[in-house]
Amino acid sequence: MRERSLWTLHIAAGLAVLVLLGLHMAVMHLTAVLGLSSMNPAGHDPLAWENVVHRGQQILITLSYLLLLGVALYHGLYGLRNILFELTASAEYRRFLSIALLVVGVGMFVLGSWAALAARATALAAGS
Amino acid sequence: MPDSQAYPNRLGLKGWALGGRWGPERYLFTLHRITGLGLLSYFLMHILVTSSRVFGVEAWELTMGFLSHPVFLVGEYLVFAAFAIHGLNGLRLVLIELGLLTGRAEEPIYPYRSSLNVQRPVAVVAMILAGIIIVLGGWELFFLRH
Repeated sequence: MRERSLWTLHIAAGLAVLVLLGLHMAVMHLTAVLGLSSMNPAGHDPLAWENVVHRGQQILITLSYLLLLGVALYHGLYGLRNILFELTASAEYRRFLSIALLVVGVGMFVLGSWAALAARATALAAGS
Repeated sequence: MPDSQAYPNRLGLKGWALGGRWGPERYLFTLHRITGLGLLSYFLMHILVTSSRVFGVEAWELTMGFLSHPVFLVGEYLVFAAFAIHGLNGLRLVLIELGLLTGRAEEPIYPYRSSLNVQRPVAVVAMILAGIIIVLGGWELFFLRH
């Protein structure tokens, strides 16, 4: 029952990643092709500091980063857990692996959330 | 019952590529795993690298200057390609998982109909779409951005 719920969540997270990462990729890699210049007003280079500041000032983009961070970490680390589970059926190994991946996921989520929120503060300060 | 010696059930990592006479979908399974692991590795590094924007323009431009090397540019393109393949193949897998590409159960009357008749074209369309997205991304990255 628990594994079925985790698997269902994995699929739902995958669909959410497809939408959110699709939007992120469109903004970062298809700005000129799709005519999304309003997302990168300082030119076609999305990594230019002015564009980074502009996106950082948009609350919807910051929120989408936080959501993407959570669902992508879950989807990716659960997928890795499934692959590593295939290597051995040892219950002790599987419990250790689950805990280790949970710690990595929570740690990266905390770091990524802090970066997204602090970067927004930096972008707002740079724009004022 | 013991596993077949010719095709044992548990092949480990070798089973990703050396399991037997497989159709294209089985190789898409391998590709899905490889792209997934690549995307996860990149994503974890991406969180660390993009955190440098917190420390202002100097830290950001120092980081981006280091990553502007052509090797990283090609790496960035590979990540984009992996996203297109993994995302569209994943969408195909979800459609199958939800039973939308399996058809209704019916009596096996000759000539038999297989759900593969539906699933194979969907796999082909998914990979054609991934190819188009990969070409568009490459065009922007290598010709329009720089």
